[in-house]
Amino acid sequence: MTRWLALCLLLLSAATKADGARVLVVDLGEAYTRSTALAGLLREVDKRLGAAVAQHRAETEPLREQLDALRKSAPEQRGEQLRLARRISALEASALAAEERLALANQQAIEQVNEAITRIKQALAKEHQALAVLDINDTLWVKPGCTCLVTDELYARLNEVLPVVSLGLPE
Amino acid sequence: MLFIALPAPAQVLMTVDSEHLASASAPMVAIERARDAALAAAAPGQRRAIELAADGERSVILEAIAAATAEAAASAGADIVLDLRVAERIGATAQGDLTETIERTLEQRFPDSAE
Repeated sequence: MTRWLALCLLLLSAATKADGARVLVVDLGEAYTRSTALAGLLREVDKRLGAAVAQHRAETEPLREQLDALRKSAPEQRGEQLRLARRISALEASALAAEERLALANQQAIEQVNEAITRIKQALAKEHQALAVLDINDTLWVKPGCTCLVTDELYARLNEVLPVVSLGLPE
Repeated sequence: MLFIALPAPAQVLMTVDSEHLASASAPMVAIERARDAALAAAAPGQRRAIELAADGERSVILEAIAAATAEAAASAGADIVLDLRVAERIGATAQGDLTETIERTLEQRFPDSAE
């Protein structure tokens, strides 16, 4: 009996090792719809960009109109034209800086999601005793319906640990 | 009687030498030769058209490589196919390599490229 038990344990150990040589695959191609954090981030960035463009237009268009009108009606008033032109330049520089801050905040928020994904991939590899969790782009072919595909599991965990991600910018 | 829960079936992992297929397979070599010959005989204004034509032909072969990989993988009962270098990087042991099978398929599909 002891001999049989030892044999069974040996077989189980070998089978587990064979299974442990597995490679898991995730398809992150739909990350911006399947990750609630990234989907929310995308909406937030779009909203802020739209608002920034509208605000910039509302601030600069009247100044441009004033400048055009002044150039036609009173071309000799160079001082006032220069003041308006400088004001427009300052607003453009400010809008550009705000856009850069938004891009940086977006990049940092994406980085948070990427870090969470990396941690989940490491956990999945450990739990499944897999050699690696590859992105589908790192594979040449995967059997449809392969048990190696753990995309659903990854997104379920990601949405649990990081349901939202903040831009960290004032409203 | 002792019952043991069986683990998931072992995964069938195969490899392909993508670099070889994309640069040294017969159809790719034939495209390079034809391009070089055309360039050697071309007027200066024709060079760009020749390069573009060669790029187009390479794309056709790359698509054929992907299709042949899928066919070879399915008929070999593979679960996953990795490039040789990716498999090496993660330390995966492949049950087989499909490069020769794919190369034969390419030679059948593009017979003019055979030596």
